[in-house]
Amino acid sequence: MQEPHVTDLIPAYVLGALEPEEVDMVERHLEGCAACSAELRAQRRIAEELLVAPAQRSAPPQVRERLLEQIRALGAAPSAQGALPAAAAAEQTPQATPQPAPRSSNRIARAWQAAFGRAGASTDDDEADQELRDLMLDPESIVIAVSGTPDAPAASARLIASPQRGKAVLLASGLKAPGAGRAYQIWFLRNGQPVPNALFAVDRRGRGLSLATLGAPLGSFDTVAVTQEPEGGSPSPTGPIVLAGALRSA
Amino acid sequence: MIHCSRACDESARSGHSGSVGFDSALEPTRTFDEAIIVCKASGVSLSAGESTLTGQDFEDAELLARIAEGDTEALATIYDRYQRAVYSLCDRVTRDQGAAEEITQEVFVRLWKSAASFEPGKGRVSAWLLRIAHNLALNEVRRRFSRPVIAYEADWEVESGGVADADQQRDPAMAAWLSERAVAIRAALSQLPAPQRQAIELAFFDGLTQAEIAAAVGDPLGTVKSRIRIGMQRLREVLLAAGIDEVR
Repeated sequence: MQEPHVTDLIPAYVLGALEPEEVDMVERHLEGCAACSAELRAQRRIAEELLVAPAQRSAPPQVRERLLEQIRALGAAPSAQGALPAAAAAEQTPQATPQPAPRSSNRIARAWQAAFGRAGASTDDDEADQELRDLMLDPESIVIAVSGTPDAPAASARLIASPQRGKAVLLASGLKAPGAGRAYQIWFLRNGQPVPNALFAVDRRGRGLSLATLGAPLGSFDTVAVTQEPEGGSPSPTGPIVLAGALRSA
Repeated sequence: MIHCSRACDESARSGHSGSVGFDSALEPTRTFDEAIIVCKASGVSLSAGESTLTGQDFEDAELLARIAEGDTEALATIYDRYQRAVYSLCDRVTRDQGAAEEITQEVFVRLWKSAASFEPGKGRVSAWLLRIAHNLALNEVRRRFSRPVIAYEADWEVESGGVADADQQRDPAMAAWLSERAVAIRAALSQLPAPQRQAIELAFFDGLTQAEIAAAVGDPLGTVKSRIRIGMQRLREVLLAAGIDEVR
């Protein structure tokens, strides 16, 4: 006899509202049932959203202090002992030798954050300017032409990038003012999948300068593109592509 | 899909052969149409983005790689991004500021200990932190009260402005992203009939089973079961309509 599906119990299961014997039954059934497993994933997604539903308030500042104190006391080399639930063991072999931080990554993170968070910032962004100078002096730097699409035929841009630096500066011109509450956003596409990057504004002459921090080698992306998005940016593109350029001459 | 910075640095060092000088070779350009062809060829449309990682995920992976190398500043950055969401959840579940503070601290200590084995492709850091926080907070509640019966409070009837305070400035992109999600889920919850919302809240945030909820609100168990099932189904429909991906 076929075991009955547990579809109706899954909402209560993901909310943790079942009695222990019901939990056992649901879990036994889930092992062999693709349909109920799919339902489980959908319901878990809802539960994940529920986690941010409570009224939001910040932890008092002393929590941060106590945390950092405890971390320093724990020592500088976190180990893989408390493996995350989803983590695979495969990643752990090169763990033994801690590597020196290869670059001023904190600055990169902050630059990225600044760029991402500062929609509509002035185009003479200090950090982008500085990075542009550094890139100009870097013998490894390359320049990639980025063209306006049919949606923005007058636009063009240059992406100056160095594989060693993990950063790139986009110099765009011929772009229209993005309009109130909107900004341009850079995307790096890998296998056609857009990864969001920095936002930028344009000046009155339609020129924009933006610093993009790449979380991966430039060569691992195939395309750079720019779209118009709501100020603050989008997780995936919503506006038409106005600029696009190939990163690999394949 | 995300590379951690360690892997990136290695491949950046070794992978860059024939380097091109600054003044040489403007690479051929890919037009809009060609970019679209790239997308289509890989079966992914630019706007659909079924499991598109956000900019925050992208940077979180880099921060985690640094945490794994023992970088306390990276941990502080992650803390600044997510303390608010984590603390608020702990505060709601425990209804005890001291406990919420301790659990918040513990959540980030666990992240510190576990960062080396975190696999960015498997899930969001924010989701992981919130799941751990939820579990620890519920454990605390269960430890303290063998049979918690907690009055229902409409916690999410908070206007969208409820997230604005000074530390939002510290990470505006993150604040915007989290507040967008919080607003969406609260809006979805506000569309449910109050008894459905109450049942979901008592289960998820107060750790009650369906039978305990029935006892707490004085309604039959079958009624409570229906409320949970129908309420969750409606939430799913509303969130889908609002464009929240079903699967990531």
